[in-house]
Amino acid sequence: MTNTDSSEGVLEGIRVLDLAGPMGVYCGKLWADMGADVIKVEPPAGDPMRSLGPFYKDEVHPEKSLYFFHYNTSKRSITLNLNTADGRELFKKLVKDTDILLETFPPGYMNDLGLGYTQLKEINPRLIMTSITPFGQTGPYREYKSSDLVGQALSGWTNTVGNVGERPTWPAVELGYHHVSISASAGTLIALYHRDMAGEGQHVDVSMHEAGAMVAASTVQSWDVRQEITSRRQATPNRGGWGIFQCKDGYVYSVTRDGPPINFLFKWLNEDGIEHDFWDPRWQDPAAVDDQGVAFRSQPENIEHMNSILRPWFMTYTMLELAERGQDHHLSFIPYNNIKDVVDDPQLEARNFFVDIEHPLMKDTPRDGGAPFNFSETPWRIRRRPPLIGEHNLEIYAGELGYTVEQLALLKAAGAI
Amino acid sequence: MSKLPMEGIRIADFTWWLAGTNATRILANHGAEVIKIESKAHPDTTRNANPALPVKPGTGVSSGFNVLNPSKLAINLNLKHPKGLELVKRLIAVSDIVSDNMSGGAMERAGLGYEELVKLKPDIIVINMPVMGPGGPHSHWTGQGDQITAAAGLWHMTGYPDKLGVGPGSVLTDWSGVPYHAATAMLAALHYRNKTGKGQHIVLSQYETAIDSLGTAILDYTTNGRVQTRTGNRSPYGAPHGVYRCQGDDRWCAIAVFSDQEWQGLCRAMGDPEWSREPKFNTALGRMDNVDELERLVEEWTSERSAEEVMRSLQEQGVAAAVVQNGRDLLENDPQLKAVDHFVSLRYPEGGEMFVGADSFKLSATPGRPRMHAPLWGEHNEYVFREILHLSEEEYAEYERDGVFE
Repeated sequence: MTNTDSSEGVLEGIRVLDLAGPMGVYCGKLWADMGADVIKVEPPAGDPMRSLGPFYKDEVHPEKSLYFFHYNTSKRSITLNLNTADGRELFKKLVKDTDILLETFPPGYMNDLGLGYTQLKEINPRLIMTSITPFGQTGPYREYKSSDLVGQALSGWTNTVGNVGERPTWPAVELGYHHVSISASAGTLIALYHRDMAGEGQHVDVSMHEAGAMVAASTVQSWDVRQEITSRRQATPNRGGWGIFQCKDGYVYSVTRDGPPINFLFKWLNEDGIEHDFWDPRWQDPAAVDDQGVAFRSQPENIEHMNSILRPWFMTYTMLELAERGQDHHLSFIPYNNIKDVVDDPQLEARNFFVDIEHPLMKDTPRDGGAPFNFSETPWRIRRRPPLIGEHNLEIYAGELGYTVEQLALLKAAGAI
Repeated sequence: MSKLPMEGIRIADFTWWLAGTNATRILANHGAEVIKIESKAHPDTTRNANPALPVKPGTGVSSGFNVLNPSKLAINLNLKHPKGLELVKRLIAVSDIVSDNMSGGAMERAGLGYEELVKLKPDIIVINMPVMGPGGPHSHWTGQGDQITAAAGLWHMTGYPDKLGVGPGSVLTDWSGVPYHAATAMLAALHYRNKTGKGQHIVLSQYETAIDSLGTAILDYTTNGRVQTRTGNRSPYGAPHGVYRCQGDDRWCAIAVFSDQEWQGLCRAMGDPEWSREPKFNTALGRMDNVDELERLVEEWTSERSAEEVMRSLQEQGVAAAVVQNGRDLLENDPQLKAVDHFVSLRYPEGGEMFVGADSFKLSATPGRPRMHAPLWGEHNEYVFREILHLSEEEYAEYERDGVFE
């Protein structure tokens, strides 16, 4: 790890039992990187996410899953089988000293094991239990099956992705899971604040369906206010110079606001010897409307006129040339990046955004994204590399709970850990 | 009636537009007193962003403003007036959090940077949400949500390989990454302050937060040299996985099949057609190898049915499937959202009503909820200046005449 600072994190002292699958595993990582003691609870053979790729150097192996790696930084790991009586006993012992329990099992699963919130709060009244499910703990869809795509679809999100008249599209980075994870984080920390003030824990019921509906909120507004169904957005812009333009080495997303920003664009064109008629005040006058009330600059033929001049001009510059000069003059050109561009971004390098995370089975140290936010008193940092399966069984079961080596061997052979 | 969990917390809220206001909304709905500070020179222009965000008759605010600002208060304060600046500092001195999402350096230029604020209240928590972070060659860049997601690589990874990538839906930084990370940060800072008495300065770069939504893409590139790109609606883990046309105009159903069990469920729902019994479709690898044909055949089946029927018949067989719902479906046709009271109707003083989502988490002991309409322009001037800051009637009238409250 590049950061050897040992300062405490903002969630220092908070212990989390992380039983979460894909719907919640980012939430656990977020807290772990913020200093919480997050214990990943894996089945004896290892968490199923260890079977998900991509893999380090494409070596398919439970300790080389980059999916598991990304989502389990700063966590410790124990193995535990809740389907055994011994496993459940161990779990209850752990819960005694746990502040937050994070799980994504189907509604009723934990209850059926005798480990639902009503049972666990008897053991630890200060426990905050956060349950993330596709549809919540109650309701007609409670038992329905979901996935990242299916969840996004029902929540109104997918309908907004893609071009008008084309098939609704799925962003391929499991954004649905990511979104419900961070929603769960906000809800849980409200419960934590309440516990600080009032001493009691509670159950936090998080629904991926409702989370997605919050993303699609503006489509609900369109229906509520205008009885309009807003769907996938137009690929065509509503004013000249606004939108995505191809350039020498890729694309830029250009937003051309009136006043100094767009004036600088017009000046730049002049500098480059490009003839244009954009100094005509109608281009920037919202009151210059036609008899249908459409502004001059938004009339389709004028949009095309401006863009037909801009398109070849954009092609003479690279993304960074356009963005750097434009932004220095408040003209909002932003590069349309792929992952390589992101990793090579000089801004992120200057900010020390990326982190190198050493791992005993990965000779070439992996480099991953870093802090989603920065705290002045309690800096964000990766506290430890992602754990090996059950790496901390001894430390936690023996060291903290007092089990002997013989007992642990018995439990292992019995399939309880 | 249970107490709201964030009662007693006050936020001096300089956020505007989407990303930042969405963050303070979360705390406002759970009881925090969030005071939006606006002026004629710097209003929250979401209020009147017609026609992009329409204003419903009888409400006085745009639908977007309604969604983002329920349960908050609003005041007007002319920060260029010396008395205005003095009053805002007095308000900050009795607040717990100061929040903004303006471009880098804006608060500093107004004399309200962290170094100044910590003199007013040593344990103040300040959160800035600029586009880029402080430091680095691009820290002054501006951009709106769509541009930020494009810069973060999300557009490149969404859509079809033979076409330009598209945005990941809605304006994701505004409705997902920034607000929930910012709320997480504010709440964690409050917890830390409870523990230690210390406040802190939080900086959330919207660009960097967006990059943290990329899952494994960074590792796959840095470790394996692979540039992850667009795969349409397909998943590497199973087939069929995608969005399929159904009966009606722009009606679709999403289906995700991974296991053999789910495949058999899909076959049963389709009535075990001859083609589904071909050995090449029997295995997960086989389905993936023949995915083009498989999807074509599945879509032939879905095209003859309504999306609702496809969803129902597949869910009955234990297969993940869902109607690709639109705004009307969410508000009017979704029994699950109805059952959990997801949409709350907020009534405005002029008599109009608008719906707003109650968010996605329900706290068992201390639930929150949008409980008040989004505030009208300067609606709480009297309350904040007379009751919180103790201006006398005469002072209040004098400041009003002097243009301090505009």
